[in-house]
Amino acid sequence: MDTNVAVNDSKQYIILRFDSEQYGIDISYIDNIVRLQPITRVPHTQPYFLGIINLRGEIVPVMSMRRKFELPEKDNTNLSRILIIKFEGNAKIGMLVDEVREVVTLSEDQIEKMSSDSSDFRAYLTGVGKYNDTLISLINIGGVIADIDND
Amino acid sequence: MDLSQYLEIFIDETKEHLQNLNDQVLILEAEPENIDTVNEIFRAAHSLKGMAGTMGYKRMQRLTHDMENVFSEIRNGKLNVDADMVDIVFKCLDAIEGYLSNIMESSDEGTEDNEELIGLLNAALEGKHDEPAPQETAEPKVDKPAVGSEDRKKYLSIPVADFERNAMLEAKTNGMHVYATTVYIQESCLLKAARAFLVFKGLENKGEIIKSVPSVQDIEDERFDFDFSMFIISEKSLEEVKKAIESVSEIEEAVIEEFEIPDTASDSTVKVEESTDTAKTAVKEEKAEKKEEKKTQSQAKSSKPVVNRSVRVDIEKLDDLMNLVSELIIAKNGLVSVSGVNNNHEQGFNEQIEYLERITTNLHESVMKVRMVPIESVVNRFPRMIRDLSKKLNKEMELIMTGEDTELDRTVIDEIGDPLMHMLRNSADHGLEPTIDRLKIGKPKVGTIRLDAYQDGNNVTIEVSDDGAGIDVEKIKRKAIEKGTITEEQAEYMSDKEAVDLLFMPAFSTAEKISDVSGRGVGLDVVKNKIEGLGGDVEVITKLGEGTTFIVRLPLTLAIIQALMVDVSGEKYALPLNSVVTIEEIVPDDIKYVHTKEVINLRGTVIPIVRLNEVLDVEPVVDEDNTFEDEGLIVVIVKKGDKQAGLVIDKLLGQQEIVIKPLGKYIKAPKLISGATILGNGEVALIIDSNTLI
Repeated sequence: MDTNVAVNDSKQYIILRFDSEQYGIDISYIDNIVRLQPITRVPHTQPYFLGIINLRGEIVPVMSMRRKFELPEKDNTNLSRILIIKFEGNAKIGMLVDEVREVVTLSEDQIEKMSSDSSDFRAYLTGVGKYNDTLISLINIGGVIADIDND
Repeated sequence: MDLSQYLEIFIDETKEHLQNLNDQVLILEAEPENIDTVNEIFRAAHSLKGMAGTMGYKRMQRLTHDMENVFSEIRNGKLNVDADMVDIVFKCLDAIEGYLSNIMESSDEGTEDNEELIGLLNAALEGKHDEPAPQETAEPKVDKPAVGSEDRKKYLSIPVADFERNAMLEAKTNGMHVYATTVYIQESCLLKAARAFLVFKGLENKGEIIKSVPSVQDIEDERFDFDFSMFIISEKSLEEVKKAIESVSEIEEAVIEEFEIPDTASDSTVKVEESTDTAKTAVKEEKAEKKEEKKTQSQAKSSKPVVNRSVRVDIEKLDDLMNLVSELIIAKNGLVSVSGVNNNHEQGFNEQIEYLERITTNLHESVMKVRMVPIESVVNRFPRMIRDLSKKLNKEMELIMTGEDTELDRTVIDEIGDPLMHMLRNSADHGLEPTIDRLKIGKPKVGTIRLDAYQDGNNVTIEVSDDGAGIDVEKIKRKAIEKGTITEEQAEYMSDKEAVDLLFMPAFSTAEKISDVSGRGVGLDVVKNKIEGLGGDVEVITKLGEGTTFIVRLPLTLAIIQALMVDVSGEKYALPLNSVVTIEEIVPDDIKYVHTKEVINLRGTVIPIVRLNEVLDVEPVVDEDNTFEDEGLIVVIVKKGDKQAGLVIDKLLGQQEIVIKPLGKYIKAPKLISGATILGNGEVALIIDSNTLI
């Protein structure tokens, strides 16, 4: 009879949209969300890096989620945002996304874990969350960052 | 008792003592009879023991205690210093350093007992004379202050009030002891109040302090000289109380004795038990000895740089300050660029901006100066290292250092230690010939390694040189061909300088044998990378048979530099001004080709041309009006050492003071880009390291 109900095993996710698909990022990794601003190109770097921005006096590199996830390129709109990620106290990194929609709370039982050995962007997903009849692919930020480090 | 607040002081002081010990033992090795050095070592070991004891680091205390015993015997002439002894002592110092690094990491000393070393120390003690050492040797130290000179017994002049006298009498009848003591704190001590506080704390469980002069409050507020006196009621023995006081570090001495309670509680000075005649002579001797000690101390002091009034500041706070100054400079640049846009403002505005500019520049310089540290803190461990290498490699060598007071930015200081160590090891291992070979070719038996540091304009130059065999260029070439780094053809046309530069390639070592000193081929390329990462460069000058010199040039400051702002295909870039020689306008026809590479002939010098838009991977500006053909090209001539190159740019934007910022951890920029900077309008521009283009 194990009845210790863990109320707190739910997490908040920021929901992003690319085309018709929705993605979620654990909100605890998000330092900030800023509007699109001029990005200074850095030559000869990893192809998915767009360049660097000035975030209140700090230089932060910005990568394109589309390029990283190998999605087709698309022009920026006024919905485009740069997510500033701070992973485990490390340096900041910006991620350019098409649109940031909302913050949702998903509990453990709303998430279906998945492990994938595919080599495309699905390798960065930890699971799929169900929220109001929509499916949200949950991004493993740690995996993305570790991958950048190894590049 | 919570000692964590003293941990930092403890770490700093232990480092200082260790460095001092290393230096002194080196001197001792050269001059085994030098009694001043022995005294100095004894004192340092004693302080270390006391500090470790106070902080509760038992293992460290034990090791230093045994070390102190050995030096106590040496001081008393019962033991002689020999090479084995010096080796053991050096091993002890390494062990203490091990404890210290554990403490720095986890504030715990670790579990290494170093039984072997303690055994060696005790063997050294017992091997030389019959008396069982430890207890005996502790004695002279203990009874010395007991016969301390009269004028150091300041407590004798303390007036005793009635109630205090009564308290003493009552204690006496209850079988307790009444002690009077004057505690002397070393004059070099920075935190007197903290030391006094530790003394009080230490006495708390030994007995009760009934009076102190100055008052406890005054002592806590640091309103006292370097001594304070007190009366203590305790049931513990004199020695125990004395030990409790003297175990606090930086306490020079505690003059203590059983207090004879005066007959009347008045202002009259208290009389003391007359010492016996023998004691008196002992006192005199002590006095003489003390004076001598004082003299040597003051001599030692005068030879050291005078200690300025200083405050310890956390480096993070300095970094914050630096960041704020950087922000201020960015803001100022913003103002300057605004004032440049609308020209129709008053003269007063311009004057104020110039004024602001002057202030920010001065402020920046001051903050930079605060961050400057003499390289001494890095290089002072090298004599010990060379000594160890000398033994290990069985070569006789000496290290001569000059310019230890040359100052560098803190961030550079932290990074430069390893590369320098590498180069010194290289000189010792590869540079210097074995002693026998040296004698054969008529060189002095003892090889010389030099480390010279000096400031040179906006750079600091550090030269590591040896008078060894020099680099055999042909050997390098052969090795490179063997390894497939270059072809034989290339080797033929290679200049000596280029060949020497091969040494800095990854995985390149010409040492025939791999020793554990150097020769794994992971050395020099790391050295080069590190130094270039700091914005500096390395150069090698070598002469076969005469020696090799490594010249390291480092920038004085890292964070803020003067730069030339340029436009390349609509993108803004900053070129550090210190590498810019001139700016030229040339007609395209002047560009000639050598080996399919573009060059220009500028006043007799042939200079290769680099089109920045190509290396930066941007499309050239489209020349709409087709005026490009006859219009001149703007070429910025940059230099690296005595080599030059011309960088083709589109527009000059002017000179500016810029704040260098790193690009961030994740983005992998080419070496060409050394950082980024934020312009007055918030835009980000990349900084080009022109050295990589030459």
